[in-house]
Amino acid sequence: MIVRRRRGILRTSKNVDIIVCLKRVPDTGARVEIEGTGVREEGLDWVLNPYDEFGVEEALKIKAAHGGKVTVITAGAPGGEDVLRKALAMGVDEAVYIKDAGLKGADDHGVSRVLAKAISRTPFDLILCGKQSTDAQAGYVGGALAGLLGIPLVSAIRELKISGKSFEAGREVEGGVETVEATLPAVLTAEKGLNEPRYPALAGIMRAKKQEIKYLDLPSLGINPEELENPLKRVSLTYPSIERKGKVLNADSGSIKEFAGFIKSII
Amino acid sequence: MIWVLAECKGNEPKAVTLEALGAGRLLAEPLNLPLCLILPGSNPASFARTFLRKADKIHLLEDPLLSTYANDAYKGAVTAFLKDKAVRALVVPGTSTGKDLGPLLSVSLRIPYSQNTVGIKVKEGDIHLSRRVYGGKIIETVTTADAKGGVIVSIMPRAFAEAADGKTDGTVVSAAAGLNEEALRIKVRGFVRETGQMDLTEAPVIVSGGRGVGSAEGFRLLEELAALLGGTVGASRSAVDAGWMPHTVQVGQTGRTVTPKLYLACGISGAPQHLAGMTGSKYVLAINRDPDAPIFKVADYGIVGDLHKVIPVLIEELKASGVAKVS
Ligand SMILES: Cc1cc2nc3c(=O)[nH]c(=O)nc-3n(C[C@H](O)[C@H](O)[C@H](O)COP(=O)(O)OP(=O)(O)OC[C@H]3O[C@@H](n4cnc5c(N)ncnc54)[C@H](O)[C@@H]3O)c2cc1C
Ligand SMILES: Nc1ncnc2c1ncn2[C@@H]1O[C@H](COP(=O)(O)O)[C@@H](O)[C@H]1O
Repeated sequence: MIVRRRRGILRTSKNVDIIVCLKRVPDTGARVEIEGTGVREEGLDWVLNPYDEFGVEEALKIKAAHGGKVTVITAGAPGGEDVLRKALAMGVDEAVYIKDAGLKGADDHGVSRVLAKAISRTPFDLILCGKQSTDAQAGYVGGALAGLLGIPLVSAIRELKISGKSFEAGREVEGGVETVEATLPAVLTAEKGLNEPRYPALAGIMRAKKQEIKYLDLPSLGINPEELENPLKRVSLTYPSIERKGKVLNADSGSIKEFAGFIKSII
Repeated sequence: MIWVLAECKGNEPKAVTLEALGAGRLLAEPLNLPLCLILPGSNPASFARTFLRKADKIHLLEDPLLSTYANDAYKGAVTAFLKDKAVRALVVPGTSTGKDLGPLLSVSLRIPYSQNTVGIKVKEGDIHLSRRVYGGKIIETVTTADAKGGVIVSIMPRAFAEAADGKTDGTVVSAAAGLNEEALRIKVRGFVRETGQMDLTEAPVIVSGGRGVGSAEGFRLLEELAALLGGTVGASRSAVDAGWMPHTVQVGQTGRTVTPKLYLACGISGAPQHLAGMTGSKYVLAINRDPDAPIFKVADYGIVGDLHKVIPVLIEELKASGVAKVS
């Protein structure tokens, strides 16, 4: 496997070649409406998954410190060009788009398989994903890629130090940060706090418009869309009942007393 | 079989394990399958007693390499243990551990994974799982396409009631973890605590502050109130971005999803990204000087006023009424 061969190269080279996985998601402020068995896509604003911005930023920082190539990749249809161009404008070197209508019904596992297949064709030292996507909120793809490629996973990182072939990462866990050490190649998933993503400069935006995007599809990866069928079938989408008919009072000594009484009654 | 993976902190099982067992029971009973607990650790036997009445069978997965959580050791041990067993469902707590491990087990055991599960039902022998998507704006219900297929169910903390005691004790058996230290690549070096003794996802009461709190010092008042109620302090992103509180206590889409018994939002407007993290709370209360603040739409009770004036009076009232801390 290429991953293994790459390990040999790593010992002599300082460069860190990085692949960042990007997902296009509805803006987190958007009103999401159910339409039939899916959500209404029309009229939604789409953005690069916020956690993936941390991934891109971290990759660019690593490149500045160690050298190497940063490639971004997205799978799905349509509109992936937007998020790839955003990353190109931020300064990544290459963009790959696995565009295939057959991905429409794929679940996270299917997407992970497709990404793993594409990624294993190029040499890399590090894969960066978001901790989770803000739509599916699965937090699945990063772990699945590590599993499928047989390399270590460190999830929800807020700190990262790479030295040569090894790295130390701070994972966000309940109540604090856990320090984990492992070696490259590996998959890391980005948590908020890892860095402050840069805004693309105008020159970057202009350059990104002209940069070439490399397209792949399922046949070119040797994957049959039927293999991607979701093992979990959707039964329904519903709105949660979060509207509460609350009592709202103006502050005065009487209402605060009542409020305190309410708190006392529930705890 | 319905399996539940215990969550251990250091070497001790955490309370979410009881919630996972509660969720597991919702499957085991209607499906008429045994409920089995996997208890990993370097000395799991010492904790087995806690769970005797909660599961039909308790499997001790004992190995010194499992004394603290590291995903490759846990994945190796659980995979080796389950790979030749029937798995209709494996319930894992949706903590930082479960979220790290679940997808790895999904690949190694070749079974699908369902995250953020808040509802479980069995209908005509099919497992129906309801989960939060789009920041909790929508609930998606799924079922296994293969009617007998297995599934890993990652549950939201506090979404399920803790398992009640059964009538008889379960049996306890030991299993070998069969780990080889050489094969392990993840080394856990240390842990730095950032929040107080209580983590947000475990706190029964959260007093949360936003931009309206105005300063880092302003949070002292919230801390005092939280301590009085036996809870801890949370924050909106604005308060975190202003540097008043650390990101570990941010509630919302890019922070923690919390489900305390009581969530008290102070000077928080109630942006969708904030609501994404707290609408699963049992009771939501709000203090805001703007009567039209969206937070009031999701609150059970609200006070319109300046939090700097309201909270001190509230603290006095609570003290006067001898409020007992939430256990
Ligand atoms: C991709 C993305 C992710 C995000 N993730 C999160 C997230 O995880 N969590 C999160 O919280 N936000 C998140 N946000 C930000 C979110 O959109 C809001 O900007 C943020 O929640 C607002 O915080 P706030 O309510 O504290 O501040 P504001 O919206 O400024 O509200 C302050 C409130 O305080 C009230 N107030 C002011 N002074 C007083 C006073 N003295 N007494 C009483 N009330 C007072 C005001 O009436 C107002 O309602 C995210 C945004 C984006 C784009
Ligand atoms: N379709 C996709 N194409 C590329 N990367 C993806 C895709 N879906 C998810 N990812 C990556 O996996 C991370 C976690 O997504 P999820 O598992 O959906 O929560 C995202 O932040 C991305 O880095």
